[in-house]
Amino acid sequence: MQTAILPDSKTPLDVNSSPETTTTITHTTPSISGSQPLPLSGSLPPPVTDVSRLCPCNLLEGQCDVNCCCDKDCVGDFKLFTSCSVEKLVADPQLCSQDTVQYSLSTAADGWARVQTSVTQEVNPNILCIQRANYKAGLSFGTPEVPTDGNFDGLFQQFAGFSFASMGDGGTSNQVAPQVSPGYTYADVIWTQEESGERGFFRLPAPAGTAHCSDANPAAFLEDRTTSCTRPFRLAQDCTTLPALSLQMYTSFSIFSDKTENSTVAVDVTSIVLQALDGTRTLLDTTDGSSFGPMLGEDDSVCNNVVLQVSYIITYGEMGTIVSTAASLVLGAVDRIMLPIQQEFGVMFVQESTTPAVLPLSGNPGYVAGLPLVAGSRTAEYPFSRDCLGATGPRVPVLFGLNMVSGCTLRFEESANCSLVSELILRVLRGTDFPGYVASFGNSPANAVMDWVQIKTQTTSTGTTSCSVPLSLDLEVKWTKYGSLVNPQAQIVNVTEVIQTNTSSLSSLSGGGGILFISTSVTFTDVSAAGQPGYRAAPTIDAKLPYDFFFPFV
Amino acid sequence: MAVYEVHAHPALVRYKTSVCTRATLFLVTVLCLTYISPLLVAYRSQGFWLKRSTYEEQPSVRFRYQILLVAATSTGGSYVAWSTFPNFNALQGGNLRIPSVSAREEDLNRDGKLDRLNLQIDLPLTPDEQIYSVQLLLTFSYQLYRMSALTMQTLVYVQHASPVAGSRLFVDGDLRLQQRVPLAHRGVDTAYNVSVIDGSSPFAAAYDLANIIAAYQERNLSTFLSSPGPVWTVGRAAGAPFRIGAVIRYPAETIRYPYRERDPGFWETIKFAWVQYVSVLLIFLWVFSRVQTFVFQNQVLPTVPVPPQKQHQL
Repeated sequence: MQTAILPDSKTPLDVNSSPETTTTITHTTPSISGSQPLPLSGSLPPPVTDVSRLCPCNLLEGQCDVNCCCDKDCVGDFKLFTSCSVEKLVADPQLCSQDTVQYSLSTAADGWARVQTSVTQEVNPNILCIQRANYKAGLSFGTPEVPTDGNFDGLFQQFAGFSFASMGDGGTSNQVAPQVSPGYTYADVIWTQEESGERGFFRLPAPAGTAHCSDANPAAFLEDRTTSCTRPFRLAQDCTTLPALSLQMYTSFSIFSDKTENSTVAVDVTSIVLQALDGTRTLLDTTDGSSFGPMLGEDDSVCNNVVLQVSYIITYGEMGTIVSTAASLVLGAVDRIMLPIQQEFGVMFVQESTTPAVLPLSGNPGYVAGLPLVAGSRTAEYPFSRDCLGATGPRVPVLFGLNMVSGCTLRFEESANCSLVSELILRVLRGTDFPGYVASFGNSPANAVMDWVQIKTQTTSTGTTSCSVPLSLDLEVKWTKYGSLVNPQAQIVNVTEVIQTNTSSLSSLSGGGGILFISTSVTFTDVSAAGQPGYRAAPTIDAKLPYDFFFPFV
Repeated sequence: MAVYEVHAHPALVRYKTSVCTRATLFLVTVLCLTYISPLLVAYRSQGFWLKRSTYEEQPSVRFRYQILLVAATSTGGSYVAWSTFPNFNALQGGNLRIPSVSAREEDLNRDGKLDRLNLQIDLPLTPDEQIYSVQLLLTFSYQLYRMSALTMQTLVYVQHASPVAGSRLFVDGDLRLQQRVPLAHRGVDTAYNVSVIDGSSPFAAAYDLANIIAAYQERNLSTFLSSPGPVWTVGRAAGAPFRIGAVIRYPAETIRYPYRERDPGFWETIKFAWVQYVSVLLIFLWVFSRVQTFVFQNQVLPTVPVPPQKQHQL
């Protein structure tokens, strides 16, 4: 296409029309393209400003464009036209007196349409029109610099903005980072040597964009992370073939201990826990050398030894070298209804040192919202499960500042032993080892007795019914802000466990269906007194007259 | 003989008094009341000092040619994804599906500022795949010049999900500015000229849509797509690509900005305060001039009036 190479010519569509064309339509067959040479590098053809030679609707070269009244190829076809797609062409709408070409269709005496062309000078009604342009170049685009071999890079720098071509930029910053120290630094990708001898990186499957596992996610050095993602697979076909289900994929590589890649550290499998279909778990002896690869069970309905959880503990030494890597895995049996499975991966970085692991604080000193309450030797928990009498349901830690509610349902029979049920529910509500004390500060040491708040128990029961079972347990935590106004520290002052028992008979509570709703909740109440704004004392005038000022009179 | 008025002119009567008189006291009181009360009235009726104002400007928006696309290909949760970030594509593995994308930004009124983006994405699908949901992230470079020179990178998030498989998704809307705080009226503001999506990160957490949106919504200045809602066309032929069409327009924005003291905004504040003050002052001037005339004309306070015809002799 010749027209495409004229980016800034004012009328790029018309360069093919022959120069002999005059202001009136001559109805001659225009010369076929190719007569004009391509513009040489460094020069461009002059812009066409003659309005009668413009024809923006002439898009078919050497053929007639339907309803294009200025198309010179349409001499014989004007009879078929119904309207003119371009009726008026104006050279420059800013000028007061503008050259205008008008094309119109009229019906001749024989009934056929005929194109009438008129070139006129129209008067622009706008009062701010240009009467006389003494700088003609100001009405058209400046002559562009034609790209050549020499100036192309400069032009590209000047005009190129965002483009799809730049999509690869910045994608390899991790690979080309200057190696200032041989050890890994924070958030570095950890390099590994695969079983096949290839160089790879330490992977921690994570969801990317969706909840599905993306196996190519690298783990970052010193960033403790746990991820959980879903892994869909076809049970019979993929059980033994999908590498992501196999223990081998997560343990059969060795990690380069630093970036110089001289020494490697193998992944030690410290523990393997087998999970049966019903969820019971057994710890396996890892020394017997069996492979624990996924295996299809009988009649292809169960896939055994599927990796459900992998957690790595990476011990690092000075200068960012990796000393050892330990992995503990949970392998489970999966049947059809458990698909797609959820896999959990975790990596924890531990510094190689002699000091034992320290428990993370929940605040220093005041509690930080969202961190668990420190209770006794462990965090306070509260139950949440669907069925009260099911297995000890999952329990979540009580997080400071987060009000929570959950509950479970209990199918109750009138004939049941009331005190037994009551005891059972209480055990579910309070958990196996309900703490007696809660630390008042997030960093309370265990030996500071005064820093621990006793959990009070308050049971509201009316005692009118013969059978009273606890229906709800509410943990009320009263806390106050302590310290200066700018940096208040949260301090727990009172924890009360309110157990509510039924006030009417159980059958009326359950509506006859025999199902009771047992609820548990945590409420945080801010009981701190409002900060008192301090006012400056109003200035007093300390201007006392001398005591003998009115001496003779008093 | 008819008598007619040839000419009329007011006669000036002067009232004289010495400094320590009740008339002087009265005069000082009246002057204070005349000039201070309008200030109090104007101030107490709110809005005396203009603190916020708005201006209109069409931003200079450029599409950054960064796209992140996630599309669900079955109701069971399988999906295809693609982005212009190589790291994201590397994470996707087998779910990567490379579409055919065409984008064109147009300057319709030839004022040098782009007015809209036409984007078309053709996502090829295998015959057994259907599209049930689309999540699309586009990033833009957004610049304002008139008051403060603002440059930031912004985001447009388009999401649509349908229980019925579709063949085409069409969105047409305005890229609008969401402003939580007023912009400075001068200076350079590049606080948000940072990548919305960290394309250089190889970690999957950088491409979590919830993280991206949450971090973006933390910002005081952001953009969103104001549109009547996507058009979801159902009925796709097997083998035909899923087609996403988007027209994103860049309209002029009304931008809030504060007045501050001791800079050009100071005179704007003074100007609007002066207009309010003087309009109230005129009423007080008229009222108190009538009061003064009454007091001195009727000699409520003793002064020495100088009649007009005697003034030459004094």
